[in-house]
Amino acid sequence: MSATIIEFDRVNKVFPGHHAVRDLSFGIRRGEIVSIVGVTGCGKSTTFNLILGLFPPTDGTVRVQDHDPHSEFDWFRRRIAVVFQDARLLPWRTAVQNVKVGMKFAGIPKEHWDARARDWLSRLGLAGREDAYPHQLSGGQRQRVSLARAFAVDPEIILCDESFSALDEITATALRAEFVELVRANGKTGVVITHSLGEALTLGERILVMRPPGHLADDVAVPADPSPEELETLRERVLTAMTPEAPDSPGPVENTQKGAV
Amino acid sequence: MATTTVSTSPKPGSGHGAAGPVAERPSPWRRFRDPSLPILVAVLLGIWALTSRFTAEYTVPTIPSVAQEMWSILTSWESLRNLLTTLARVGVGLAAAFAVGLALGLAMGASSAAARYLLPLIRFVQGIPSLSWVIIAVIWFADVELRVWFVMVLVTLPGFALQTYDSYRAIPAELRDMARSFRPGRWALFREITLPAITPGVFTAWKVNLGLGIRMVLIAELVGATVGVGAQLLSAQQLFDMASVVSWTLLLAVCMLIIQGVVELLESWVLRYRPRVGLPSEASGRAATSVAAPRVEG
Repeated sequence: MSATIIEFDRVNKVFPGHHAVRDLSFGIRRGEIVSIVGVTGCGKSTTFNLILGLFPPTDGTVRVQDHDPHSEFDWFRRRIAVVFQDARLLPWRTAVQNVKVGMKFAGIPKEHWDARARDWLSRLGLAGREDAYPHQLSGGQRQRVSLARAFAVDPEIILCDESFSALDEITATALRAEFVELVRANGKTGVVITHSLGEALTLGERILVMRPPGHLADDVAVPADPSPEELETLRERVLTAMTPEAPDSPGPVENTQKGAV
Repeated sequence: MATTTVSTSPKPGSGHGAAGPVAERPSPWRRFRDPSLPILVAVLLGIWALTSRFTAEYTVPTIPSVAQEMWSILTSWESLRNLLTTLARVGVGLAAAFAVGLALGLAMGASSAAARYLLPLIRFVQGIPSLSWVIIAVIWFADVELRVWFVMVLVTLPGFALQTYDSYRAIPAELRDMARSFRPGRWALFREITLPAITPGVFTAWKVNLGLGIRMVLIAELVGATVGVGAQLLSAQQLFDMASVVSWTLLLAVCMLIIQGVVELLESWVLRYRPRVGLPSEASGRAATSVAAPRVEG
């Protein structure tokens, strides 16, 4: 099995009148937590949708677990789960039912639903709130249900699309830490799309910096326990790379196929 | 499934205590404790009693004569059969219109090509006067039951179809994308997203069409039916028997209210997930969410 779980090779995506992604190449290894960061309109969401297989690239190759996520869309059932910016819970389902629905959609046998759903809600601190409807939960609680729904499917890859950006800072910080812990403890690969540099530095072991028009500007490795000075250096480097008029970072893009810089 | 070491202690945002316990919904019978309804009925009865004292029996019948007539209808199987037949016609007609309207609405929602062809047709049918359908039915069909059924279906079907179509279109794209990210099968998607999302609209269509159906069935029964409330009303009109007219009308209206009440009870049970209108969300104190769309917030 290849160590590279997600691979973009000179990918272009062109929408009518808009070149969303241009010659994008990178690789993400199994077990990594990678943040994709960039300013609005830099192609993050298009990249996210390409990984998810919602549409094909115009040119180039997208491989996820050595499969084409678009043409082999159904193959990825139970292999990819998504945590969206808003929790996207079904308002007619309780918390536990919402987690079960994810498993139902993913084709997990029914006998596993209840125990697994309650287990994940409990792990995410929602024991006792299983039977609450979404409107009876706070924003943080709803996002916890959304995380439980994603993890309960037991996917290999978890994609987060600005999943923590709509929460208050205390809740978001706690959830980010839990997310990282859960991804590591369960051997998943995490890909986090974000426009927040702070979030990218907190979450990712590696940061892919994107810049309009949809290409990779830098590929930054984040040390396990960075010192304040290292963090500041990283912050400046990423900020510079994010800035549209900055030159692309020399070299790292090539290296991403093998690992982080 | 892999295990994890994450603790289950309360965490920021998990909000133990942040969101209160699930509040009990108000009793559906609360309306009957409201004194305004008996007061209104008493006032109307008073006006009726007063008016009937100064008018002829065939214009405004007295309350006792109407009560007596109603009692005789309710205690005579032959009379009661007329009422039940009319209600059965309403039920059968609405059920057929619902089945066809739901299928058309879903087809239009799922396929823009279907919507392009069906939507103008349904809107055209909706614009045809009910009386025209009655006349067409009389010319086309010799069988009375078929006439009534035909008229009922044609008049109420557009409501079901359009309401289903609108509800389908109102399903938030975010929910569809969420579901799609799990790669669901068609049936699971329909059962978990489409069906619950269109249910409020379907209930609305039923409540509107119940009233329309009751009104339409009487018109249809006036032409050719020998059994049914419409036929009895026609007979009473020919005899200038106003007490009978009022009795049949009141009985049908009361039946209608009871059926509407049952539908509303069923609706409040099926849609029990909805926050109560006008009350803030329990968790955050913010305004209640809409029925179909989940709140997008943090």
